Amino acid sequence: MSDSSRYRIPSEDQVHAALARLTKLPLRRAFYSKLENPHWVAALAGQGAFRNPPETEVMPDGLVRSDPWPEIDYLVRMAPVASADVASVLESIADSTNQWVRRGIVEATLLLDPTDAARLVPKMKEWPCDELANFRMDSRGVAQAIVRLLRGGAHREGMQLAQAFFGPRPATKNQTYGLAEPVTGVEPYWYRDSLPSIADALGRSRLPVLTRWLRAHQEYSNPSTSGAGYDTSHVWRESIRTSATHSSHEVGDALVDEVRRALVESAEALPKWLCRLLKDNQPLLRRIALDVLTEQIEALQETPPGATAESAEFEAGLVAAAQQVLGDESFLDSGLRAEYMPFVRACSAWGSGVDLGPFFDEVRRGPLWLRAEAQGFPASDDDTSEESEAQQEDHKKRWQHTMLTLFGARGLPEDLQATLAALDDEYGTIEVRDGSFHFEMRTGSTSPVDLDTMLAMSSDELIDQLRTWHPDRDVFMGPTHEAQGRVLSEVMKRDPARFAGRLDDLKTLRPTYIRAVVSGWRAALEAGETLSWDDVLSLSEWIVDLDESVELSSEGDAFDDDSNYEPLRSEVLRLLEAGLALRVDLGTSGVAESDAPRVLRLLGGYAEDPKPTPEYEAEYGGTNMDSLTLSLNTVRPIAIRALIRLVHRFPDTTAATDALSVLDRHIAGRDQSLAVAAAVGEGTGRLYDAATAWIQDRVSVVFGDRAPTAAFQQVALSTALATHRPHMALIELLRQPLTVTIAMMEDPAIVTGWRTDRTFPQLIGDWVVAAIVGGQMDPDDPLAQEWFEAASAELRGQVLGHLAWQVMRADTLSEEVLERVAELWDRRIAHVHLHPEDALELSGVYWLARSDKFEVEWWLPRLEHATSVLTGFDTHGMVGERLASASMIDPDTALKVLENILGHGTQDREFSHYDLLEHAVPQVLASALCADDCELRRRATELMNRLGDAGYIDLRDRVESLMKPPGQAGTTDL
Amino acid sequence: MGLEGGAWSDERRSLHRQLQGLDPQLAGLYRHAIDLLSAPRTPGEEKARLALIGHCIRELINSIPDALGDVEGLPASGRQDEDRERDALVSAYEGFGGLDIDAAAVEDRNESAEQPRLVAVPLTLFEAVGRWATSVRVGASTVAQRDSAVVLGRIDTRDAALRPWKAARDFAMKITHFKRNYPLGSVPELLPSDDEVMCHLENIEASLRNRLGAFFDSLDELTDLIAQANELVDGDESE
Repeated sequence: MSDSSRYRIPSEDQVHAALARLTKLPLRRAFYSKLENPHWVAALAGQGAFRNPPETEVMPDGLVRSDPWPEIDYLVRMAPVASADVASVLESIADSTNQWVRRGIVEATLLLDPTDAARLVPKMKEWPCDELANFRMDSRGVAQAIVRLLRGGAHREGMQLAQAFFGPRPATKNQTYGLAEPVTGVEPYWYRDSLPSIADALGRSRLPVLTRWLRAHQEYSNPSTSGAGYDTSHVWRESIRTSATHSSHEVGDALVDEVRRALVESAEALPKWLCRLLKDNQPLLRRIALDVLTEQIEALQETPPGATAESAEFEAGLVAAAQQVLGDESFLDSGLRAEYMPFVRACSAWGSGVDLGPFFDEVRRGPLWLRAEAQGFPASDDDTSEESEAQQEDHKKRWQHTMLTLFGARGLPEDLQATLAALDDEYGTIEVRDGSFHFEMRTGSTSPVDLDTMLAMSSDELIDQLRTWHPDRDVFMGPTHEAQGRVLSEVMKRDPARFAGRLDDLKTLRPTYIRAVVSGWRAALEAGETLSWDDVLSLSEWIVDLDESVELSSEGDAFDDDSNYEPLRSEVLRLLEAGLALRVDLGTSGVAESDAPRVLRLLGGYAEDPKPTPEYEAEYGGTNMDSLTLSLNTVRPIAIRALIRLVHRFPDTTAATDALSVLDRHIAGRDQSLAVAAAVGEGTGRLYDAATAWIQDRVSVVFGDRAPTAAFQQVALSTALATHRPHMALIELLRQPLTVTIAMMEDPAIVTGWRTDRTFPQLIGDWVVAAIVGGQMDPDDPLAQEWFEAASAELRGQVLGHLAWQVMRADTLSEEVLERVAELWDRRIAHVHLHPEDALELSGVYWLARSDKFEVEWWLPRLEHATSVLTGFDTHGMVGERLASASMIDPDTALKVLENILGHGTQDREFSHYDLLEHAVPQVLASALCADDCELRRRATELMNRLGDAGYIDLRDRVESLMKPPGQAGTTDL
Repeated sequence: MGLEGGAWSDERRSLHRQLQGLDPQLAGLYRHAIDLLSAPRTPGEEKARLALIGHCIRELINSIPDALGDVEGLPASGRQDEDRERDALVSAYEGFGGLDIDAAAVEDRNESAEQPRLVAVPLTLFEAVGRWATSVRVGASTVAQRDSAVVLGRIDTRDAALRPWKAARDFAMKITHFKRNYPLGSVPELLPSDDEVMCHLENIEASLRNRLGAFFDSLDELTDLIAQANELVDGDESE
């Protein structure tokens, strides 16, 4: 940027001539982005050009609108060369809520002379309360501006701005849980990022300001009912010296770090500051001071005491501070322990005259909360006074044990050394790492035996371990049966024959372990291992006879051990289903035909299980979980699914016939469970394959043949459609149910069995059009006609669009299929010609353009037709490049497509039109402008101007660059 | 005349064509303004020439908002309201009956320098004054709104782009009523020059071209103007 003397001062006529042309936002953008003359700042300001940036508004639909204001870019550019003029303008608009203006003002404050920038502070310091207006503001820029003011001779204004943006304020949002989070003028991440530079620039005010902010943070993060000294900082800031990696109190953490750093760097004033803060009524400030004091003492351990007069005075100051701490019992509070015990250890190691006697006395007296003058131990109502005293004594000893262990035996007076030894004997040695305890959060319970150990055990040892191990009730979050069961399950997966011949022993184990064995067998089966089905079925037969209602004496918490046989019985059912899903003739270890009768008997029992009960389905089904999903997790539907698999696996056998008899008891509304209906619907194809006559005889009752169909019939039919690929045999099987359902499919109360991205009515349409384009159904088939007549234009559009999407996704399609797709679309386009009110039916035509499976000459006119009849046509960003290529073949139609879509403006659909504007418009316009047709060129020019008017000011340049023959310089005159 | 010679240019012919498409009457006003500017000054008829140009411009800018008719909420011209209230005020004053104003004086014991002397007037006259003052204020606001509808294509009376338009309107009013602004005895040299007239007219034309013409033509005009604004002082070659 050069200085202003190089430029001419504009005349009033010149300014008027410019303003007369700045009537539109795109023109203002062009003007202010290229204006370099700094004299125009004052000249334009004199004509009111910078007076009225648009305010940020919340629109009726809830969206926030803050229009761009290009003037601010020019002002920012001119800030370094016309500082006073720019500051005058910005001063007058610094209370604007326009997001772009605020962003620009922050940028400008970094470029203006600091004394000019200081003029903006009175208004800028009011900004932090307005989050909407600050949305585009650069927080780092704000911090840099503050630093610049503080260092640039505008300290007072810098302090004002720092207080406004970095001083914590009360939380603005109600906290659902946890403590309230105070707010500041910048986001917590940027607060933490920027605070060090602000702190450094604060100069002599550094510690007073930082401690004031930290005090405010503590005050505003505590409940309003808490007292002045209330402190929970040890929860979110476990240690003062190390900040948490992911803190929920990022602002608090940053302030702790900076107060600590400021204290350390306060040099000779440190002892004075330490003494003051160690007496502060804010525990967090005391913790920080204590930590810094400890660090100073630790550093002095390496140097000879009192080497110089200055250092002797400094050390004396530290000794005084240390003695002050040791004489203050409030430091025994557990919230300060992370700093207190390292401090005591450092004093002990220093040996510079610090008397640790007061600390030892405190240990002898016990924890603060047990002392007579404190509140006292809250005894339970049921405790006798003797029990209460015993408990208090126990707590005192445990506390002393902790304190003495943390201090270490060395350096303790003899009596306390003896106490520590006695406590070690009584409670066991406490492990100390890094000078502190470690409380580990775990995501699950642990096993008393790990996998390698269990794999190495003999079967006898393993059974003995499983029989005799019990969790220790006194160990918090200790090992559990459930966790040991998980290890056992893995062992069984790797070695499913582990308990071969030991079934009787197996039956003596806890149900949790038997379930683990069955679960391991299923995992082994799915992993391709061979199972002894005789053992499996024998154990299963024993299990199904167990009384589910019996309450077992479980050990541990709710999920640590099975309290009845229900989970075990469900696990067996899953194993049987998995066994039926595998085909023995393919070399897998599935259920063999000879075992089918035993499996059938087992499944028959499960099929009569009451679960899911109607109450259960009412609570967990419906809008909560769809019926098919529910059927995967409840006993009876799993059994029904397994029975259908059995029929399919062993057709025309006695077992299959018997299984169908069982099924007969669960269809036609005899079983009201929608989850069971979903399982039947899912098995439609298998039943058709293996028991065609049976399902044909029952199709009307299973799926419904008269309107209105029942909910269980709707679930069965919709699940059948959702879980099978379209097939003409199934269409024929389901023709009557489909016909009656089509008549009622737009009823919002219709029930869907499996909620996928396709609705029930869409699924019916998908099947119909798939059959048509597959050549299995005539387009004039009554079923097709019924669907197209009953479906709304929107629904038809969704189904035809889905078909076009499938065409796009297919790697290869035969010519015949493509022809039928084209014929079907043309039939529908012909329909829309006659019924323009049904234009929505063509909304998905863009997929055909995108698919690259049709010639431009075919899809382009159809796309043009759809865009001409459907107002607000949305291409969803799918056709930009195709349209650009197509314009080289048919520029007229390609231009019409753009005119149809973009002719009504681009403002409201800017995002969805991006693809067209970026990828299609320049090339389509270039193609049209290169054509011989004058009218076509006129239309292209008109559209180009309209889009320029809408803000695409570089469009003409892009079009011109595309019109140049390759390698040719210069522009083509438009 | 055939839109040739004198002050006519391609841009003006193009604007004339656009006005013709909008309303031939407006195109006529514009053509006459340019023709008058193109015609040589006849000694002794300078004021008549300026007054006619001013009339054409004033009528053009007053009428064009209605011809465009594309801005929601465009207020109707309020000139008639203002005239009516002014006439009503005159009528009310004359209806006062020619009483001596001193005779209607209110006795005021607290008369002082800060407190103007009070007189009693009939309520009808007082209300007529109020209605006329309101009509003048509303009229000014209406004019500004109608101007913004032409220049910006929306109602926004605060935009700085309206300033040149308003300046041109005020100028046109000034030269239209030359008797008041330039007494009959004025020498021609004290009248506005053709350059001054042209300057205002060009600003009007620029705003109209922005409104009626092609976007990229407006951008080209602006690009030329930016180049002029960024021109360096003589001899400064540095970048």
